[in-house]
Amino acid sequence: MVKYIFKRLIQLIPVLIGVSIAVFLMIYLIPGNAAEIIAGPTATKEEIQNITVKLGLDKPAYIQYLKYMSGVLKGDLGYSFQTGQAVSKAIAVRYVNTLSLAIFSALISIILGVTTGIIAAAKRNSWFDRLCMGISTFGISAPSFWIGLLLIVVFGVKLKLLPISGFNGKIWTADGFIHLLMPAITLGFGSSAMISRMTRSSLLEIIHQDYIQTARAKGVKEKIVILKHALKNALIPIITIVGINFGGLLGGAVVVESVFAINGIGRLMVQAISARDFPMIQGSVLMVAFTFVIINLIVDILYAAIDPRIQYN
Amino acid sequence: MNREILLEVNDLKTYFYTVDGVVPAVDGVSFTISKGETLGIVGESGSGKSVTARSIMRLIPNPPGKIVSGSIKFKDEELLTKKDSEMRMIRGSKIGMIFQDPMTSLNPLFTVGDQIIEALCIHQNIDKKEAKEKAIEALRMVGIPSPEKRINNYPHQMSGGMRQRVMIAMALVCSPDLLIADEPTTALDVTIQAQILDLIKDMKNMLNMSVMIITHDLGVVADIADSVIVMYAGKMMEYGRAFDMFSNPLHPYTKGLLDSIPTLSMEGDRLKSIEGSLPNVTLDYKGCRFADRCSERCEKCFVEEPPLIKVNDSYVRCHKYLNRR
Repeated sequence: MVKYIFKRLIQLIPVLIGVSIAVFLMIYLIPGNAAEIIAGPTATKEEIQNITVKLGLDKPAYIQYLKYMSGVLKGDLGYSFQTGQAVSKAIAVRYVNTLSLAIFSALISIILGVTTGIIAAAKRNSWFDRLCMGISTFGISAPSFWIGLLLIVVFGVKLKLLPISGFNGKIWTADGFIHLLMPAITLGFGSSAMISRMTRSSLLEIIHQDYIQTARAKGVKEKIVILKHALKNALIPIITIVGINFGGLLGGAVVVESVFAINGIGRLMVQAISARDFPMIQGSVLMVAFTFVIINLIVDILYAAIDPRIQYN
Repeated sequence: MNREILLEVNDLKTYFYTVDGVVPAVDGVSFTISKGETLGIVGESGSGKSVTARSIMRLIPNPPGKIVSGSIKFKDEELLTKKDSEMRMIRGSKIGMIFQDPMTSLNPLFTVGDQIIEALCIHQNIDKKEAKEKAIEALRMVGIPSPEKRINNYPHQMSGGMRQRVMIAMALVCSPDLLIADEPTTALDVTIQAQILDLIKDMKNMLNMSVMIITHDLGVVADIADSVIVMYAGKMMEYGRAFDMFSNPLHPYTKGLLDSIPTLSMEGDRLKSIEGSLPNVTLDYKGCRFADRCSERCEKCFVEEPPLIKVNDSYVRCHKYLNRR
C-alpha cells in the first residue's frame, strides 16, 4: 500500500506539469497584457515597454515558462505582477480559507446526502422519498450563487440569524464556524443532492442482492441489514461521487466566495485573471489541481480500505 | 411414520401484486414435516418452490408479495401471526436457511468468520471470543480445512463449494430444528454437488434436524428426501413418499419429469421433454394448470380444477384418479 501511495505521488509530477503548461498557454490566449494593466490607462508606450522588460514578458514564451518552472522546483512560485507580494505567501492564507469552506461543505453534503439517501431507499416510494428526490432535483439544478443570495436574504437580512460576510479564517472557532455555515450550505447543497440520489440508487440495487437475503435469514435486524450489510456495499459509488464533487466544491468556491466575500483562493484567482497576474493565476491553479489529485488519491485508498477485493500493487 | 410433527403448513397462499395483475405464486399448499424428516420440493423455475420456502421464513418482499391466507405452524406455534421481532428470533436460530448461489449469498465485504459470528451473537448470549471458537468449530464440522485460518478469509478467497460449506456452517451454527435448503447444489459442479448433499445428510443426522430441500433435480430428491412434493404453477400436483413417487408416479407431470431424466441406455434417442412452458396464471384461472401440456388431458381438465385426491399413501391433483377412489 505504501508503495502504491508513493507511486501515485510520483505520478502527480506529470499531472502538475501538464496543468501548468495548459494554464500558461491559456494566459497567452486571453487578450490584454499585464504591463498595460499595471501601467494604467494614461501610461506612455515607453513606460509600458519598461514594465514589460522588468517582468520578463519580452522574452519568448518557452523561456518565460522554463524560468517560472525552475522557480517552482525550488519552491518559489514567483511574485505577483500586481502587488509584488510572494505568490506562495498570498496563496497560503487564502488556501486555508478555501479548504475550510470546501471541507466544511463536503461534510455537510455527505451527512445530509447519505442520511436522506438511506431513508429514501429504506422507505422507497414514501412521501419522504418523493420529497427528498424532489428537493435533490432542485438542488442539482439550482445555481449556487442563487441559493447563496436566497439564504442571505432569508437568514441574513430578514431573520438576522446568520452573518452574511466577514469570515475570520479560523473555522475551528465558534465565530469562524458561524460565518462559514451559510457559505458551506450554499456550496454543499447541490453536492448533497447528488450524493443523496447516488446513495439511494446504490442502496436500492444492493438491497436486492442475495447476501442481504442471507443476512435477513440469519435474523439480523432490518436496521442493521441496511446500515451494515447494505450500506458498506453501497459505499464505493458514494465515495466516488464525493471525490468528484470535491473538485466541484473547489471550483464552486470561486462563486460562493464572491457572494459571501470570503478571502479565498477562488476570489484571488478571479482578481488575478482580470489583472493578467500570471504568477498568481499559475500558482493558484497549481494548488487547486494538487488538492484535487490528492483527494482522488484518498478516494482510491478508501476503496481498498472498504472492499477487500480491491488491491493495489 | 408416526413421528412428532415439526412444521405444518396448511392451505398457504402467497400472492404477488404486480402491474399486470395478481399472481398466485403459491396457491393452497399444505404439507407437514416431521422431526428428522427430509422433504423435497421439486418443480421447474417459477413453480413456487422458493416462494413457499421464503413464506415459511416470512421473507417475502412486501410489496409486491403477500401471504394472503393459510397457516404455518412451527412447533405448534403459528408463524404468520408472529411479530417481526419474534420472527427474527426464529430465523437463523430455529430455522436455518441456505440459498442457491454461494457466490452471491455471502457478503463480500465481511470475513466468513464475522458473518458466522454475527449469527451466533444475535441468537446466543455469548461474547465475541466464545463466538469465534464456536464459529471455528462450525467450519471444522462442515469440512473446511484449517478453519482457524479460514475464518479470516473473505468470501472471494474461497471456491464455490467452500462458500456453500460456509453457508451451511452459518445456517447450522445455532443448531436449528429445521434447515431450509433452496437449491443448494444448483450452482455447483457435479462432484461438489455430491459432497454438499452428503454434508447436508451428515449434518441432519448429527444435529437430528429436519430438512426441507428445494430443487429441480430429481436425482437430488432420490438421494436425500423421505417425502416429495411436486409443484407446478403454484399448486401441489403430487405429494407422497419419495420411494412411492419414483416407483409409481401418479401425476402425468411427475411421469413427464421422470421420463425426461436422461439415461445411459437411451443411446441415440432424443431426450424426452414436456412440450410447452408454465402458463401465466392469474386469480381467475380455470381448469388444471398443467392441462395445456398434459398428454392425458380430457375436456374436463380445461374447465374444472381437480382437487387433491388421496391415492394409497399419496396425494395427487388429477381428474384421472377421481373415479378410482
